[in-house]
Amino acid sequence: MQTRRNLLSTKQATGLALIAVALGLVAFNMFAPVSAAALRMALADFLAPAVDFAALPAKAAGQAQAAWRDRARLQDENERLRRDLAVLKGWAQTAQRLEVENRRLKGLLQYRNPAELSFLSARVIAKSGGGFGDSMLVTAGARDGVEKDMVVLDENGVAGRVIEVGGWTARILTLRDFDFRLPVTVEEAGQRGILSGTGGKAPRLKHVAQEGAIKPGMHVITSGQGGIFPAGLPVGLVKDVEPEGITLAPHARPDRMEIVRIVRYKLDVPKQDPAAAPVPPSPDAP
Amino acid sequence: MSGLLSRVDRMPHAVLPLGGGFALLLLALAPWPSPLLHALFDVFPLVFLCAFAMRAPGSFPAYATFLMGLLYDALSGHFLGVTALSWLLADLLLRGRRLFFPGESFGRSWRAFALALFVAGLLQWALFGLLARHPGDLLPFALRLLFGALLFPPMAGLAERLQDGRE
Repeated sequence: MQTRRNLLSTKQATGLALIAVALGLVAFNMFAPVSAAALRMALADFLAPAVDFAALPAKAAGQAQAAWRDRARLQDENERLRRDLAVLKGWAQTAQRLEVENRRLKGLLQYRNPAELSFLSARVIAKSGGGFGDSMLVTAGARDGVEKDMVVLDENGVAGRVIEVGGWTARILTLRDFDFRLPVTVEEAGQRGILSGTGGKAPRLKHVAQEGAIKPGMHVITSGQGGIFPAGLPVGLVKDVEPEGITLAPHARPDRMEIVRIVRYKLDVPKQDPAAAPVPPSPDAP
Repeated sequence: MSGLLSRVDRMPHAVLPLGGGFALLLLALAPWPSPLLHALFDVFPLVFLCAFAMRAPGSFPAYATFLMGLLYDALSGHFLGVTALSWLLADLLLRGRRLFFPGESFGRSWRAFALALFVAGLLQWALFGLLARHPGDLLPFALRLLFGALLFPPMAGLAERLQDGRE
């Protein structure tokens, strides 16, 4: 009996000790968020192979769902693609002609590209949701050149941005997350604003100077404001314009993402040679 | 020889709880193609560890619950310790309760489990809101309760069978 009591007290002590450690970890997040993120990514890196393996059933389910969806609309899509192909062939010729002309004009103007974009593909191996943030773990990390704040695209448009980087993996905050912010432009209205995640499905457009100029169906692209994100990437369409705010319908589908593209972006700011800089005229000059 | 065979026979009963819990944890975080599937798999680890805490506590120690919660936090990008704390609380609540009500009916166990699931979910939701400085979505919380309640009977049955195999 005595042994049983001792055993129980040992178990209770273990339980209490574990609760204390868990509380300590919660406090660790509050007081050392950067170290907590580093610890999270170290654990994620360590477990990445197992997570990748466990993602196989989900991948199979995704492919089965996509195959089922595709089978139903295959015939219609085939017909539509044939029509599109005919139109696109015409556009391709126009684009080639314009590209040559564009290159020639840029050469004449000594124009410099505002940014260098390159893409890196990565597989989604884990997703989190459940009402507590919306993020994904992908198979590309610092060793592949991934850095914090890089923009992430799916095949349709902007899907999120990199928030944490490990050696082999990176965590992406999707544009549905409550903490997601992205400077955007409504193309047709020429209005700039900030896309703000809501935690639900439809992000909102905030801080717009003239909301009246924006109509449903207008295209939303990245504005490049601040120089952190590249400009001109497709984000979505304006869904509703209501007194409570403007909601957007993003092109990206975080639920169906299997492969993402991480945009490596370097703002190419022309370096000025101080010696070559124009000298301001002297106030004494005639 | 028969002793060795008997030990080999019992090995799955010892390995399955920990290995199964870890496998369910990874499946919970897998990129499922629909939010409903995601919500369903998300609740599996908690139901699994609660079922074992009630029906076969010897097979799944409290530190394993803590580790599972910690790994869930790390892989999902949540605040470290939040899930570990809420799962541990549910585990200890049910583990302690079992000592006072041995041999109770399945209906009562089910209700106790639902209460623990609610307490764990509420704690997780409140702590997340506190740390993130905005409230979490309530719909996934409700879905988790619903799926958890539905998944408990088969999971508890599995835990009991494993416990019988150990004895």
